[in-house]
Amino acid sequence: MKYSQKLLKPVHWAVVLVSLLMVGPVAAQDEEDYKVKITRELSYLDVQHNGKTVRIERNQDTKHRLTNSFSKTSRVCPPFCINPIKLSEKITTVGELELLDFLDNEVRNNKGLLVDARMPEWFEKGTIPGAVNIPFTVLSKGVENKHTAKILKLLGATENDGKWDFTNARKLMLFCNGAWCGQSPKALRNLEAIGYPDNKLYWYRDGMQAWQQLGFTTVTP
Amino acid sequence: MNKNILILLTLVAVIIVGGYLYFMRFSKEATDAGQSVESQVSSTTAKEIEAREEEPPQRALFDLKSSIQGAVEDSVQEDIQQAVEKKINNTDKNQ
Repeated sequence: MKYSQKLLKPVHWAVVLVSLLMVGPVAAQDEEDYKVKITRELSYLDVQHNGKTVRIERNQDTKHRLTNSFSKTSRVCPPFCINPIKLSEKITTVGELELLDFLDNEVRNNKGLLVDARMPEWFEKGTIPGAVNIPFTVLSKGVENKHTAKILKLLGATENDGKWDFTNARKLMLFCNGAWCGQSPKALRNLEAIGYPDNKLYWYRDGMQAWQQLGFTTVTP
Repeated sequence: MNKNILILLTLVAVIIVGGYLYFMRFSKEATDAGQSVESQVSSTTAKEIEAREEEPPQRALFDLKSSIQGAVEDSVQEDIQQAVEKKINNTDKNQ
């Protein structure tokens, strides 16, 4: 009895040590995988894009630098002038975390849409996962345009004797290339003008430039 | 003799626990990616039923985006056509 009691102690210690060595790394591996998190609590967000699950995360290479057109600092103004932080009284300007929350709640539950308001050739170069392309040229037309009218109806608006009802229209979050881009502001102002409720309109002002500067995932459609 | 058996049993237990945890980790990753091992193998598991219940909003969203993309393409095509016609008319006038 004495013999086994003497033996049990080191064996127990061995078990604890080996377990910690094996279990510790396994439990912590998820956290260790992300040294560049989005927030302290959030490492990534999975969203649907073209029927596939895409993980939105940040580039994990801490030495990564942008080399594409978004590394450019100066563009001719006009037309590429810096936009104010607020477009209007009620359109909400958002940042990256609010955009992710919008994707996770409104878009996931089919109550809102993230809209890339740039032209298709820009959209095809890379966009935010979960976004749909509705160019500002389409959204800047009046309701008399058949294509714009069709899109508004798809967004949940209804028309009766030429009067538009946006009660059941989806929330929209628009973006374009950056704080100097006039495309999403133009589309948002037009949506407001045709009666789209401004409390259902959101603007990701800093757009693709900020998205890429923070190393977020982009997708090509 | 007792000591050897104890050490052996301990190692076996640790390997089983470690293997289980590794399996759970990879199983979780597969589930996160929407490709759970269970749903691939079995057809009537509870997880699949849950997945089917969650499907309609995602399916509806996919259909909505496809419809919007179709309308956008029609609109962009029409704009291009109009721009081309306008350019042709201007060229004709200049000639």
